[in-house]
Amino acid sequence: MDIAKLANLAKLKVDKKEESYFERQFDETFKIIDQFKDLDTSKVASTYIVTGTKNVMRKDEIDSSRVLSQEEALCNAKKQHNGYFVVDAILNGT
Amino acid sequence: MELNAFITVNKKKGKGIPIAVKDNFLTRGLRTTAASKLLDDYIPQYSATVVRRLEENGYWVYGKTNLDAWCHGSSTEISDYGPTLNPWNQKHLAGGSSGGSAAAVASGVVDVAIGSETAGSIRGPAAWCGVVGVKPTYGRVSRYGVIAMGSSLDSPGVLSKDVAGAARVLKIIAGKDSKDATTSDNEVPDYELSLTGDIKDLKIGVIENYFLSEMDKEVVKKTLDTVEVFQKLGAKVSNIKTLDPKYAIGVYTVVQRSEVSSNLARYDGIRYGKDRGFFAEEAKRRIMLGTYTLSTGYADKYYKKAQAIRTLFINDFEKLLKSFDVLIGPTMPGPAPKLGATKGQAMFGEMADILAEPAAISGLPAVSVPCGFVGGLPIGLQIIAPQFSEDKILNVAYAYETSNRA
Repeated sequence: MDIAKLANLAKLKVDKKEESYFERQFDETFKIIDQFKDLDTSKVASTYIVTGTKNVMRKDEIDSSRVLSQEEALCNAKKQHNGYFVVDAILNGT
Repeated sequence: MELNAFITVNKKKGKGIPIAVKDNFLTRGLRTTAASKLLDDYIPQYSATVVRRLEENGYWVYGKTNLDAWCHGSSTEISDYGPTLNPWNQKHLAGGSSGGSAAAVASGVVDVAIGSETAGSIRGPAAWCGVVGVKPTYGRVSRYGVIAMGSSLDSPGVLSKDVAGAARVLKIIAGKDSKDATTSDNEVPDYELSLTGDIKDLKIGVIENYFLSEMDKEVVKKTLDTVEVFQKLGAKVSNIKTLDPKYAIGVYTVVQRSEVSSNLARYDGIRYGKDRGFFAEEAKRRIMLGTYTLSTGYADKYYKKAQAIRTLFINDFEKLLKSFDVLIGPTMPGPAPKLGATKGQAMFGEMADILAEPAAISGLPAVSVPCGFVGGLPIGLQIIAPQFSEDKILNVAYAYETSNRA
């Protein structure tokens, strides 16, 4: 298992020592998970929601009880500029 | 000695009845950390539906209780704010992830506390701390404003010193919420009124294969002693077998890690909280494993397979619950282990919660009620019923709890 690749996909920093530690633990974990291969599920449908709820729709209207003011939305942001969140650049400037 | 049950105690004393709330429920204006330093300075701008409903019904939040960070664990030892100690013996774990809530109730700080369960996180600490723990049906209680762990499993619930207290609070927090589309519009019965203690002719199935071969003999004996009590109360008790719970460990591990990797992707330190460098070891391990089980080529092998076995568990319970009103068995394989038991154990929680996982992945309601002591530490009996039968499990728990008073 390529731990460095997984860490990169998940945007996590993992050092070399941790890499081998996690790798060992993942091997142990998959030994336990792999027990479920004993069960034949070739004719069994997967369950993604246990209560059988179907798509729930609502009117396309603003529900003011779940809207934050701009000031509230920004109140926990470490970096802000002119009432906006500041994010890292994702494009190279040309 | 302090138990370290609370991460934050509310400085503003409210009016009404104090209640402790697990620190993964958002509380407007009151710090909410999920026991992770990543959210050390996070002050929510709104409250969870559960909290709002409690405040509208005469309760005030006394404090925010400790948990395994992000609910990742079954010990409350994997908290960035230090472990919660077991009130019965402070060298032992409180259980988790709702360990702070269980300890707050067991030590008498509050009569009732709010917890949440993905698989075992209410029932486990309730059993280990000697209190009542109710994990409702998935979708019975709103997840709005609860810091997400495994979204197809997360079930907010109640820990209480007695069954009546749990019934009272569950009635307040249960029900449809327009802010959580997975909540059910099934009517919420008056759970307190359902506590008659009458279980005459009730059909109870004792899950034989939940008494694992490696289990402490005293735990087996104390749990089986409850059968006699139920028989005296007029219930019809027989032994039954379920699908082997060992398969639930894999299902739960895959589904939960997958959902964790997706849910914890939002913590980027931009809108709130600190950056991803603040995730501790357990969160990193879970996020990466979930990233793997959801990745191309492995999603079918693991995620889809796990969800198919989930169907097998649902079908198995459905069949059994056609012939039985409730199923009972031990909540946990043993009493609380000593502090430090989780060290280096990547699967401590999943193994400890083996008996809680089948009902959880099937979305069934279950209650853990104290049923004695082993080596000076409490153990619990769990009672499982069909979806939306919280009234039934609460009444059976109540019948057991009050049987000694007759």
